[in-house]
Amino acid sequence: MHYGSEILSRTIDELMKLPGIGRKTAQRLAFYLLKSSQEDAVALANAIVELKEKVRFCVQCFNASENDLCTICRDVKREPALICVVEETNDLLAIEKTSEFHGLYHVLQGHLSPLDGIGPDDLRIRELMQRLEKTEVREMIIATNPNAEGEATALYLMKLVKPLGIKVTRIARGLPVGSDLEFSDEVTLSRALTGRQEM
Amino acid sequence: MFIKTVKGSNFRNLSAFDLEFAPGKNLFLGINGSGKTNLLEAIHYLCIGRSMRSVAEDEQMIGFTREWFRLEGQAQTTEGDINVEAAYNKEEKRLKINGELQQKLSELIGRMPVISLSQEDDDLCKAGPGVRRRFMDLAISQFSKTYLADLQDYNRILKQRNHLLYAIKEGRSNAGSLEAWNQQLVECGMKLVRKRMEVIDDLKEMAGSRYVGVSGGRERLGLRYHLSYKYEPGQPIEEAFAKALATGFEFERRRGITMFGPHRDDMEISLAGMRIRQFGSQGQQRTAAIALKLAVAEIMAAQLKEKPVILLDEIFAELDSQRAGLLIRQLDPECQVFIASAHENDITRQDGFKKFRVEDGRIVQE
Repeated sequence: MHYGSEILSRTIDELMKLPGIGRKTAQRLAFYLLKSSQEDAVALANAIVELKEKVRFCVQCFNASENDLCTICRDVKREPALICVVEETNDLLAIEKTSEFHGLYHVLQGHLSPLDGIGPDDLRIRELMQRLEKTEVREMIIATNPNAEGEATALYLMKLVKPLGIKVTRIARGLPVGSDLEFSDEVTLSRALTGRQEM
Repeated sequence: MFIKTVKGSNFRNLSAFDLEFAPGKNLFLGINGSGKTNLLEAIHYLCIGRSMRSVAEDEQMIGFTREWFRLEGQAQTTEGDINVEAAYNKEEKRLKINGELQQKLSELIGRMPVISLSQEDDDLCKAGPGVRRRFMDLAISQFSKTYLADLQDYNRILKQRNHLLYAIKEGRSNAGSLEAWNQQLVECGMKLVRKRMEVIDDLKEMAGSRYVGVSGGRERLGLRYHLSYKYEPGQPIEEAFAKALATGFEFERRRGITMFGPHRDDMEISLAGMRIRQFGSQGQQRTAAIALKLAVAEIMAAQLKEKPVILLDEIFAELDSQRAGLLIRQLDPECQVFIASAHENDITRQDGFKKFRVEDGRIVQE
């Protein structure tokens, strides 16, 4: 495509490599940057460069970190015998927001998906197993997504970790809190019924 | 429920139309190729977002040399009036319910139940198991959203598992994570199997009495769910399914595809204890297919507390007038009916039909 400027079209091409960004959005972003102030554009560029230079993955849990160990893994107030396994850093952030969990994490950096050619070796599962051997873990909570891929990942981990004698749990799924039964859709409701618990 | 009006543009060979229907019986008269089946298809599309023909892509429904089609309909249901707009422009399908754009096409399902009978139904008794699975899935999905969601999950798991099997076959992957997919395939697949069996149980009774009603005969129509793997009576089905996957691994690995599960199961139709596919006559097969469809309409009405719309496409063509008369009498008089036919006959000449003549894609109310 012709944009009248080689640099402009290069910027658009680069932006299009980002997830969820198509040509139209890339164009909008590029023209926005072109019109934005010098400081804003430079700040963005510097942040990207620094991100790549200084931020890496925690050697223990694979959360984003500026040091070998991330801030969560370094926090002495957290309980190392409790590990919550999530698919992505985003999921970790969501759980952190609840302030309800005081253990450590393990970020798999994906889920099993043969469609995308992703198998167990492409996830941080080997590292998880090594970690479980090295440290005393009381409980492992699997917090992968409640879809086919997340469920397969959970089942795979369960089979791997159960024989080690570690308690393995799966986060519950069901009705959203604060909603009325009569307004929830049939599918959610019927699945919540299937997953009912004894009181 | 009944459909009050349907408007359409660029739909197949039909010229722009804006029609008002009778709550009872409606008749579309026209010679072959005039477009009367397309009109039925437009109604079906508005009801569940897809054609009743087994091979029909949205793209084929766009009129010749046109770029898009649009349909709009109004219906009166037990939950109040509903307005549905459906449009397709070769890139995306848009569905609006009461003016609101829907993210999921499945939102429509169950709100405007519809059942269609055509000569294609003969395949139910004649063709391979795929036709019967499609029949079960489409029928049950219309009254159970849970079933539809389970079906979508199952298809996703199946697709993933097939990719994994293929990768194992090609030597690109090992079988280490297969068990995780097996467990899910069994768990989700069992939900489908249980529901299908439950529905078949109901269907058996209803279709049986419909068969007698339409044929005037006495033969007993039988239905049986047929699993795609070995099953000992009394054994839990999930156990048999899991075992088939475990022991059939070599077989599946060689093929690189999932060989067991609800996507390969069947519904066996028999007449007086004989398989209708092998032993039924043309007339028996046709009558059985009609009986099955009518029974599904009955189940839908009971489950949804909403009478489905019934579409009959050239259904009289191979029936003598006596059978055709029996068929009409089998229809729930409270259901709205749309009949497409090339000719008037003894039945359609009776009062109570609102008639439309279709000629070269032009529709005129008589």
